[in-house]
Amino acid sequence: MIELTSNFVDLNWMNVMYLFFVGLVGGLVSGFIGSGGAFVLTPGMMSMGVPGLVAVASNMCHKFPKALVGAIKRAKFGQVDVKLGLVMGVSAEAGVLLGAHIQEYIKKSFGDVGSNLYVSVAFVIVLGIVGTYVLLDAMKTKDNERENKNEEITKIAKWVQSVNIPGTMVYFKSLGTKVSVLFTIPLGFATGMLAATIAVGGFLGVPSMMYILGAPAIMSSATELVIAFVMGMGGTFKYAMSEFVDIRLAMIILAGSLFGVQLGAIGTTYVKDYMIKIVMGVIMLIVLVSRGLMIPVYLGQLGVITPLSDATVTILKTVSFAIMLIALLTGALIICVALFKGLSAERKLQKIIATSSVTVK
Amino acid sequence: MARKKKTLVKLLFFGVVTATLYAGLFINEPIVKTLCARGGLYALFPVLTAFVFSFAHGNFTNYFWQTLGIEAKKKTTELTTYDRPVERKEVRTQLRA
Repeated sequence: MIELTSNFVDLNWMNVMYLFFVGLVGGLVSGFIGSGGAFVLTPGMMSMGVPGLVAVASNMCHKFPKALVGAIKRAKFGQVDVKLGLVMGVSAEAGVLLGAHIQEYIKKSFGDVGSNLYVSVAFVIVLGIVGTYVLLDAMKTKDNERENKNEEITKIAKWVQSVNIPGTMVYFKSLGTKVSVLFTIPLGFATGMLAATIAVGGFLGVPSMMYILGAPAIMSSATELVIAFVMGMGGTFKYAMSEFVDIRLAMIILAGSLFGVQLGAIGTTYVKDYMIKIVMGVIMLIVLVSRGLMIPVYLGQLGVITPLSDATVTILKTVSFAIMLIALLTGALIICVALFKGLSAERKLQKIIATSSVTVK
Repeated sequence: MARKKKTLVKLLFFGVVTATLYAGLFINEPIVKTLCARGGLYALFPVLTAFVFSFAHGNFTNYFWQTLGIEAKKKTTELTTYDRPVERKEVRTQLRA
């Protein structure tokens, strides 16, 4: 019996409270932008002494029911494209399997440090490109909102929507047109591969739906929750078969993040589209800095550069983790401010409607 | 008022269910850990547990925010703004050649 449970750490109250809080903030961001949270939860769990693979597996186990709750909530607001989510979710599942194999191969060849370096470099590259693009686009969308223009779709999306490959065309309500599934499959696959690598497939899934397929930002972030559900459930089952899922850890994070994910989802109904993009871009770029700081540490450990002193490593690790928490808290703050501003404006309006003689349909 | 009372009852119901589930999980911690560490078809245990917990807790958090008055933006707001200026077209006499 002792041998069976050796993978799982003992929990004390401090650990439980810490996981609950990180789950809450992670969930808030997740409900709002359709991704995020996992990138701080996995290292957060590892810092408590949870083995890396158990952290990833338990994280996945908390994510899929959370994604389901978020997706149902946002489906009620009419933001979810279930068909697109399922089509991309199935191909994402294949991506997760390949991504996991790559992870295993790197771990076998270069050990834990090699896999940490791989994860960090992937974070920096993906977040650098996608984060900058999202933020620049958010500024453009903001200008359009000022001039009362509709959200424009990109040239790539226009081209993708114009290609007609007989036998593969499927109508997606988020796009309002037919698109060949041959375009959605590689996007889903890449999302799954990234999810298996850095635990946040949404960093690729959401922007790809927005910029390559041409879906609105609000619908993309909501549809990503369907992809996360499909991916997460398959991944959890696979990891649980190999005894890596610690349901206690998963359920504590879930306890916090379900409060957050609902609040985040409600928040999306009060903000303009560009706000979601700004939050997403800001978080991406702050996390990039956080992961980037760790690269010299791993390079030193692998012997590629002169190893850093223990004191420097400790400082870099602490700063990196603190920056990651700041990223989540910044996102949470932006969301809360937007939500409460929207709520008070709505209440004022409802009051005016209630007191005026005008009847509303 | 009746709606508020209904929400409160639902909040309390799902609150009790959620609390019972979490208490059950941690009181029976050794069994839970063993079930998780069995692998194979026992993989269904964490998956099903996650579903049950998310259903109860998801409902609880939903009613929790509703009770606090934090709800999604109502569609009526959009209707009022839509109703006013858009449908009132300016009528002008037009020259016909």
